Amino acid sequence: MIPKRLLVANRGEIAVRVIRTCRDMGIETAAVYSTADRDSLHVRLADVSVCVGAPPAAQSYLNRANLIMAALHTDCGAVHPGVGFLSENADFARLVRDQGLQFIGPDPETLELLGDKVKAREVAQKYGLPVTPGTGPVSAGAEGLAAAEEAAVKLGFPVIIKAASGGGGKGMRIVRAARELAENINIASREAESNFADGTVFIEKYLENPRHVELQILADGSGNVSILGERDCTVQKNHQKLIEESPSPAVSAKMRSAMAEGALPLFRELQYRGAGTIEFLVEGGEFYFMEVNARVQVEHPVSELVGGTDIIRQQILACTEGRMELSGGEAPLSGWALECRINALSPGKVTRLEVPGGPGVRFDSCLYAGCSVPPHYDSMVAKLIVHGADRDHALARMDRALRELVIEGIRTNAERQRWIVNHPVFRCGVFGTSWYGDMEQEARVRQHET
Amino acid sequence: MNEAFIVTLIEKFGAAGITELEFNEGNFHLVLRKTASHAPAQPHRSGTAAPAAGGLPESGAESGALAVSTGVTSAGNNSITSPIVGTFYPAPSPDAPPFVRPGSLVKTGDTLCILEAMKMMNHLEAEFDCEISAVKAASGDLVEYGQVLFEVKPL
Repeated sequence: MIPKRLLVANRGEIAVRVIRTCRDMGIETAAVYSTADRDSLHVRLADVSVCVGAPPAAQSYLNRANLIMAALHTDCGAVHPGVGFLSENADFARLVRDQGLQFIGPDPETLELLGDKVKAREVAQKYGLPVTPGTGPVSAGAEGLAAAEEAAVKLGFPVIIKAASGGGGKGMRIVRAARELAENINIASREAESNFADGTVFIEKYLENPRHVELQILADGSGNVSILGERDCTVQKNHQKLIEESPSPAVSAKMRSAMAEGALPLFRELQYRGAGTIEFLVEGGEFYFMEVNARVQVEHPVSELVGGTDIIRQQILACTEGRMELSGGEAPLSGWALECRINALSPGKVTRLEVPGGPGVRFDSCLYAGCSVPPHYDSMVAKLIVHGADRDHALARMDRALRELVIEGIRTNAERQRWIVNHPVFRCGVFGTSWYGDMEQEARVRQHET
Repeated sequence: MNEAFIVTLIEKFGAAGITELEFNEGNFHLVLRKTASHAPAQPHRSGTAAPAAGGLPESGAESGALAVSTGVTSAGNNSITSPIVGTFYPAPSPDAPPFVRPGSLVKTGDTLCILEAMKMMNHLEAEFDCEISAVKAASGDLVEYGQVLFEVKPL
């Protein structure tokens, strides 16, 4: 049943995004906020709001007890976790469920399974999705090291050593030659042991400059799975996505079908519920499963524009009524969509805001003239999304929209985004995840020289 | 900007009856802020494993009677605010007299009220000796983080 009121357990742009869809659906919203966010847009837009703690996220947006109490006391029937914070936390999902509230996301059991890197990889392989070529667990003894070296030579250098229980770059080492292998396995294993209390490591082929491609999944919890095309998130810096587009300039119809063929039965079998993303690395005409993000993603609007649907709405319908307004399988897509993330480069007060508009332009943001951007949280303050008939059309619109955008009072990356959008390499569409970082470095060196 | 000047500035600021000083000269930018000794800017919590600190009780845990104490004060140390989101109870049971009333003299460590969250009855304790001037929440109210529960006069 669709709840009368829903608690949005998040802040910033995504909280505003969820509140907007709720209002479209006739669902009241309860916002939560830290003392640093008292005057935030999500608080202003929600029907009721509850202060849940001090500015550091650990004391507010990650404070599970305060969030649950806020939901219970404001008579909410459901909790939407947004992105980040507790959105993929199985314990939080379980707690929400135990309190008789609906969690807008998959079951805690599904979150647990997909959160485990090695298990998720096994699940993907079971459904015929290729994973990056690699080894099983590697042991540190002399015999183990000899076997590891043999395996690494077979994979071809560079390789990457990863911790089985790892995450966040800990226990990860890139190795470019056989003679560096043994030492790095020992270091990675020690690092893994001290960080995750599990020294198990394995070796994978390291892709130097792949593309990052992901499929948008929506599922109703009883086996109906719909794929809203792919998104290309290759423009990144330090693993932070900057620009996303759909479709991907690097994915052929054949590759798209191959990805979908593996993903559909996987999500069907999991009885997956709500929105999710399955991420791949693409290099040299091949694709490799990376991970599943069991939540809605920041870049979901590009899929909304090409797929013609509201993903948050479908997610809420799936998780509260077990239905969607989409048929299963690969959804028909139309046109080309691009998204530029607008990040604040410094905290401060927005003194002036001029929002782009016109055909095919959408601006999702938590900014308003006079608002403050606190220093405690993620730097993303807006997403500028455009839709056009084809890629050239979308690129022209993005350039126009970025020129219209005026944000004063805080520094943002909007100018830099325009520079990327107009860069010949980005325009031609052939590049990998390390392209932007290298480019920026080069530009900086050139600037320094002149 | 010479160091002696900055030291002098800090000393003068320390002695002056102001709480904030902003100084700009060319590229030099200095902000000095004072936290009044009786008005900590951040909440203090004592006691262990208070739910507000993130550790959740196992489901089924009923009344751990954990002490959540707070020294959150604002406006010149005359209020005590809630450190968690929860339900306010002024008394240990519905028929019992309240822990404190306006006029009550409270010693450090005395229970002021109960804040219920996640089936846990958290006793809110006074962090300093004070006289209760007003009780700002009613029995059964949802109180949010930072909400004023009591107005007090420090003793």
